[in-house]
Amino acid sequence: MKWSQLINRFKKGIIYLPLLLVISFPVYSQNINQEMVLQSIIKNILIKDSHHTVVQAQKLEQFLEELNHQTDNEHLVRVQKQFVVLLQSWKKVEALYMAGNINSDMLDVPRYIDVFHSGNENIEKQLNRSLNSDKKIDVLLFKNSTKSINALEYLLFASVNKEQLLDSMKNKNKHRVKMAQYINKVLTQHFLEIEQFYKNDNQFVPNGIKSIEDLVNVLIDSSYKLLTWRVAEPAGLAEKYKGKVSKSRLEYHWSEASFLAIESILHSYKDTFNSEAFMELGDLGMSQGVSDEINSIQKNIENAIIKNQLVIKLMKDQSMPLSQVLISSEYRQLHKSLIRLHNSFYILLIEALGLTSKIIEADGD
Amino acid sequence: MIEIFGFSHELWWEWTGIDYVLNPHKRIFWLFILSSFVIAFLYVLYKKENYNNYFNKSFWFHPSAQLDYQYFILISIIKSLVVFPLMLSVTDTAFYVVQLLNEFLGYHLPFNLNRNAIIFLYTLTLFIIGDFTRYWLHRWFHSSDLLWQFHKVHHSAEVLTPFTFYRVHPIENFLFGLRYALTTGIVTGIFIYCFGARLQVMDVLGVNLFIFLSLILGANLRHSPIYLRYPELVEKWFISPAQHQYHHTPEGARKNYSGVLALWDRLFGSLHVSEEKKLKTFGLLMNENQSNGLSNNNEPSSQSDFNESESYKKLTDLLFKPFNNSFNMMIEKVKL
Repeated sequence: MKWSQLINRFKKGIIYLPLLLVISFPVYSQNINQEMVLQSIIKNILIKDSHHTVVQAQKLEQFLEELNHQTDNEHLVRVQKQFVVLLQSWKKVEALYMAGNINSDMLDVPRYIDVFHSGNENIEKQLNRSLNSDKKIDVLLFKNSTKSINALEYLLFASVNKEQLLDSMKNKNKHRVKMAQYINKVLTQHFLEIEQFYKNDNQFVPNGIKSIEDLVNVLIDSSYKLLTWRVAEPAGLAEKYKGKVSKSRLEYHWSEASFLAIESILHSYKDTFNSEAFMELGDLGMSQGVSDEINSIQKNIENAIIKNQLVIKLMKDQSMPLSQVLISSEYRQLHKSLIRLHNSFYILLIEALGLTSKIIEADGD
Repeated sequence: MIEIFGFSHELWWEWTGIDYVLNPHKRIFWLFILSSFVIAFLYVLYKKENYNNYFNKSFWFHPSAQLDYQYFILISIIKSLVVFPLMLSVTDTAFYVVQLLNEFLGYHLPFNLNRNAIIFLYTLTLFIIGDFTRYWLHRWFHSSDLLWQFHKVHHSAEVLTPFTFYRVHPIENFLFGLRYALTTGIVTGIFIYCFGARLQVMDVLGVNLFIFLSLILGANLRHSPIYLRYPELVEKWFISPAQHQYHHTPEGARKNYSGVLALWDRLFGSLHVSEEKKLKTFGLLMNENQSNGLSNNNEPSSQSDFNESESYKKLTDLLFKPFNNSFNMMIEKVKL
């Protein structure tokens, strides 16, 4: 073959090159719109939820002040209800806490707010000692754990009955109410800190794929804790407490708001994967070819919400005691649905890596 | 999705082999063919050889090459309909590895390591471990009497074309696919356990960077008439096309099993660096008294050897002879 012939063949080949490029492009093209999704998440979830929590804490502050003036059943019930609203709002913030990933200075803030499953401190003992002491409140409550939402829950709910609780609140110049007010003020500062952090953040969106990865890590971590700490361990379904049921292992057993907290956590997942109002991770995943996995997550979230509602119904409609709830079939179903949900987050993560088996590696050599 | 006779266009592309030319995950993706062609062009130019030696009808339409082309279509359909559906999923493997690690070592938050370092480490580990397991499975196909019956299909090619890469029995496809699923799944599971979602493969067009480099740097020349050698020092680290071609000769079949890194051959005593003299015969040769296909030794012993490649002339030979041979072999073993 002569040179000129060979070069002519090359020229012909080059004509077909753009065509091949166009045809093969869809095989590896990606239509990613991370920026829009991240902007939407920080605006519609992170800032909105943290702001809502601040508002609820401020509302509780007002109700506590009123309780301090008029310590009766009506005002106590109002405070207790508001506490549960605050708790639910906080759970949404905690379930998707990204501030620690963005800035390590913010890493410990949730631990100051909520001490569930951290450390071996007996806050009940410490709080009881403080209730009987005449020292100044800020001196008494010097530990972070005694300024946590769990401590506040104890002060607002822990008692044999409501009369005794009201009596305790009236005692010693309303020391118990004042302690609750002090704790709520500290908590409000933390909530404000988180809200301000998100409002002033200029890294979450520009970090792009890193933020998406952090978000998935947070979701996997949160769903693990939801499944194991909040649901499996109280009912003795986790390896650590196999067969040993204990309602005191529930996250908010004094207020019996554990399942409302779980509902909030599940709703924060729903916001992240299946919101009709704004763009979220579900939309991003759909556009990146992992629609089956996204559908599975959405289905599992919905299913877990339904199973959790059945458990709540047991407590509300049938007034079933917590110890009975933990061994009910509805509770087991909730546990199973959370296993599926946690697993589906892992599956999404693996699928997103695009490790298909139909590749060169399946051929020999 | 476009449907033709009730099947998606993607399936049709897979069955007709079109997908292989347009998909960067395939060895004969047009860009890799083009790059190999450019390297071959430069090689011939450098060696001052005649292009007709390589680009001629007698080579590209040799009966063995023609069989490669026909078999390529057939195996594409078989892989799509039989092999892939049976394949173990990488996702499932990785998932169960994460579950196992969580159960036995306990759940923990992802280790905090620089994101780029994790991605580089993951990409490199996938490549190195993948190449290592590939070496051992390939070697096993040669050392096991039973598996050799199936691998003979690949070695029966008398001329090497890029399509010879696909001249592989479905059983071999399945085992190589299984190896990939296990290797990639285990590595991915361990990395997810350690680093969570901060995982990504460094890729070009969706292909692992290191694999892409090996493919664009003339992987298709391994099965080609271009006797491209690397300097000896390089051949001790990376397998050259010439070294793989030596593996396709009857005398070299037990050498150079490696895919990309010659390191494995060097470590496990099967390395053969290329020599100046060009290779003449590819395919299977067998001693006359072993011509019933029951040999456990694929190395010839004399000039009077019988050319076993002659037994693989038809598509049916490539597909069914390995089953027949292995069945006879087992019967013989039972008799003994």
